[in-house]
Amino acid sequence: MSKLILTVDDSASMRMLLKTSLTAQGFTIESANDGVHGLERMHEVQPDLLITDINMPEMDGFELIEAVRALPQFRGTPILVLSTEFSDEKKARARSAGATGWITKPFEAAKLGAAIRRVCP
Amino acid sequence: MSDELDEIQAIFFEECTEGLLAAEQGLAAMQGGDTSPKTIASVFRAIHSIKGGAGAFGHAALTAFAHRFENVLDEIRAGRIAPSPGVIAVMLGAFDKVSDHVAAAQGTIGLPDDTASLAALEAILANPGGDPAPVAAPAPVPEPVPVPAPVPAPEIDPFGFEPVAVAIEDFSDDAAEAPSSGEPEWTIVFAPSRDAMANGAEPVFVIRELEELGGRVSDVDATMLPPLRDLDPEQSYLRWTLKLPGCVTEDQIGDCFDFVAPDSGIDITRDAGAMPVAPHPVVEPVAETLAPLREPGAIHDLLHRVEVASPAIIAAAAANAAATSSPGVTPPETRAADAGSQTIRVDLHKLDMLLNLVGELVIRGSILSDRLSPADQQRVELPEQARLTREIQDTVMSLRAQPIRQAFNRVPRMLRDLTAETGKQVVLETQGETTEVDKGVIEKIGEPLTHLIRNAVDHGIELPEERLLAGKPAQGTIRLSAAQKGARIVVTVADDGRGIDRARVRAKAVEKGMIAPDTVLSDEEIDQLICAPGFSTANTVSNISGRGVGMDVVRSNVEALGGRVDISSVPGRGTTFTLVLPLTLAILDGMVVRLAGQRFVLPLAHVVEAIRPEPGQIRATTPGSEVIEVRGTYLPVRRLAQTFGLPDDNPLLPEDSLVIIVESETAGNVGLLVDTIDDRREVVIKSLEQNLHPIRGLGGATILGDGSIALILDVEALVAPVTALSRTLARGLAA
Amino acid sequence: MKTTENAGELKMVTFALGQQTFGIDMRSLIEIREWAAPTPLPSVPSYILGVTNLRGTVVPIVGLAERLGWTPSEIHSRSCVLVVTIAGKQAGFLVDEVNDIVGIQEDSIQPAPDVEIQDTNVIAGLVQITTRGKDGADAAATMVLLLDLDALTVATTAAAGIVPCANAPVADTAPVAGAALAIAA
Repeated sequence: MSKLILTVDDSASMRMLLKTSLTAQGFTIESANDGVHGLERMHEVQPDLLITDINMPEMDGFELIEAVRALPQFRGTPILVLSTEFSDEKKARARSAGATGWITKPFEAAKLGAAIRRVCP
Repeated sequence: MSDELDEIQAIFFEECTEGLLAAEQGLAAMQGGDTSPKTIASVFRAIHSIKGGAGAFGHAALTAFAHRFENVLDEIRAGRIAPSPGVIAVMLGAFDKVSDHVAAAQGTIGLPDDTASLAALEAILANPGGDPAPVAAPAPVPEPVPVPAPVPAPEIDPFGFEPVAVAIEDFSDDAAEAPSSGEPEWTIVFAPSRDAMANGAEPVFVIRELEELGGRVSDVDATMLPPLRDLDPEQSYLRWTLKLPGCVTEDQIGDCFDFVAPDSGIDITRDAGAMPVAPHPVVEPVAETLAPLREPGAIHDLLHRVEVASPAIIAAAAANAAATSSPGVTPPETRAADAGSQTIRVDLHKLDMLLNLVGELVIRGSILSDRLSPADQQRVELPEQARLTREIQDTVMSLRAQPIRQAFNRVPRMLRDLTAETGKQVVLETQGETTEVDKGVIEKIGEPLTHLIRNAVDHGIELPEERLLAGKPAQGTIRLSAAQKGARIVVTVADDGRGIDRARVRAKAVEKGMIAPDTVLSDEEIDQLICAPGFSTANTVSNISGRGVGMDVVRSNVEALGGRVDISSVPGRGTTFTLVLPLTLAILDGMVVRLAGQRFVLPLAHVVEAIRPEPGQIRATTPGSEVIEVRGTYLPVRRLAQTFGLPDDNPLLPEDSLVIIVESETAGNVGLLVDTIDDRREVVIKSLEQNLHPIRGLGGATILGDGSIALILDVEALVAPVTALSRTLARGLAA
Repeated sequence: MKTTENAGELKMVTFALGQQTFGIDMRSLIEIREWAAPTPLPSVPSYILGVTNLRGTVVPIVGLAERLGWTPSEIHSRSCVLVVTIAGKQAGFLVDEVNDIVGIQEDSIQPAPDVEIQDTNVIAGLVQITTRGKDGADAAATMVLLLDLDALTVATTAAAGIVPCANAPVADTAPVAGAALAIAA
């Protein structure tokens, strides 16, 4: 069975890009358009991996990661941040929130696939 | 680009449009003094998103420019640059450039020249405390902005292939034949940090990945492993030593540790003197190295006990889960509050169909009600049905309704361009941007608004010197407002300029043969001439304004929407254009009345009361004018049948008629004389003006349950004081 | 007569009005309806007979004869209404009788001569057609006046507003001040 990935990004075009790219690599994708919705979907679909953007209104990526990690059932779920930013302080912030890894946009499909398999083989 | 990607890019461009809107609003707010973190964050997010998507779709120029803009915004967000008026001005200019870049990315215009704007942004970044030079100042050609790496323009690889420089041998299952590469092998010591697994990572994955590259675990150090009672299954206590063939690159090794916690121990060394060791197949070494750990009493037992212990852990976890997230779904109240951020794209055509169906539902409901006996009509099911229908109707209507702000949003930029070009100073005041209007109206009103604004700047507002001479402030004002009045939306564009030069308009009309030289026209009629096709009085024509085809287009656009354009102008003081537009497909609560036997609908919203007049209650004041005395006050009376000139063979005496008192904005309470009242019902407004010109006094028509048409009365127009204003000039008829 | 679509051919609906035969471009035709009395409209020129319900849209009905300056048509059993679309708007024209659908060659259209019509520019041209005789009688040549529907929308000087004075006749379509006003569309 293919791995189920939940992607969270407030940009519909980005969500669609991710879906196209990752589905072609054999993953099953669910998506949410903001942090709050993302949290709901985590419960509903219980993905093998969460990929989230950082800059989103209402609840940003950091807050989402913290909220997900606070839930025992998701303590071991790998979480990847996918963002155009790449500063060290942001990465550190993500890690302390509980992110497993950080991928910078724009991404190459294969690299993203490799990174995913790295945390979610 | 493939079709699918084209579609996704199309959505990206839509998002750009929304993002640009949000950014502009945020910047306008900042300009108005609101520099709260939330506002700044909204602008940042908008530009950030545009930049991100642009990068993904390979629009390098847009990405590069947006990136610089984003840098400035980030600094402001972090408090390192103050949003002074100068900085905000630079950002407004940068915003205009981003808009242009987006348009260029879409192919609608060529690439904009952003050198000046970029220089201004760079200046701010270089000198955070100082006031930046105004954007208009020509900048010396700056260094090319270094595009931050990595911002390549990647083609999304449809197959997900990427050639990886890995020696073929690493993938062979056959252990024996792997040739040595001659390079000394790597020794990697990996000691995951204590909380390595806290972030959903699994050190084992790293090890597996290294093994896929040809490595093998040569040693496991379990000295840090505590006794079981102190063991936290989520913590890491082991330290692995692995050997990798020398042909593997350091980069590849590094990649494997990409997501490992920062405080993990990772030691990668190349053993210079060691003999090259052939890579072992994947499966065995793991089994080997894990074997010692599986000895009874060690990990095996450990694992077994952990399994046994787990139901307790699970129960505890479940209890926790229940407490923190019951149910897992956000409760409805929160959801309602979040509703603002959840949107769904809907095909407008489907909404139209839905609206039509709702309209039909209302009509059928009326027919059904007609068929019931009066007693049955009172039953609770019928009003309940009506209430439900009404709720559906309101909700569906609200789906199409959007704040008119969307149509207003292009104005500030246009004004900036116009004032720059004409040298005039104009400030924009807006009011009623939240007024909700049907989306179709928003789409079609954009062009008329554009023309009106252009005209106001070109012809209305004077140059600063002229204004000062006239005793006005050098800066002109254009007031843009929208309000809902009953079943209409009223949009006004008012300027405090020089007003319409009626002498010149008249002269031009004569010159063009539109009117005879000796024609007598009222002021309003002259004003309306500027809406005639082919009319233009501009001496110099700004390249934005065009040749006076604007006003003609404005009027025809507005009339196509079922509305009308009113003009009011005072020489020296200014001109106001009023666009009166219908709320399309509205459902009206109306009173069906009869005039000279014909049925009309009176909007209930205006009705105060209905009176059967006593003999003598209605009195004539002047010839043609009557009043009715109601509880001590005298109200004017209009005989509607007469107003409309309806042929009446058997005019009723006032005492056999009814007077309906209506309240109006312009004339207060007025009595309307009708023959009878049929009933009260909800009707669907059908536009008269779709196929015909507007008729004063009528606000549309409706189709009654039997398929016949009843005309809807426009109360405001009916009660308006009778003057020459109610005449309008000729315009095209549908037939 | 079988007509096939080819370049330069125009399909026309011909109808009788007064003593003449007229034709309009078939692409403008939406439908042909039986006559039904429309709901009268106040404050409109008398050639606008009223409005009617066309599948949920309110459409004005025009007495074409009157519009052309002739005596209004008498209604009889073969009277019908041609519902057309002109520049995106719909309207219905009352005619005496609908005749046929005919294909003509565009280059066979001749310029309009002097005909007793108020606005001569509503006639786009003249064309000669051969009509089938009734009851199998011999075909006869008929002159068809091609109506220019767009020109029909040209304003006359009718004011579209409520007449201010209660005692002024509304049906009076006499020009408002500015008699020479004729705005070409």
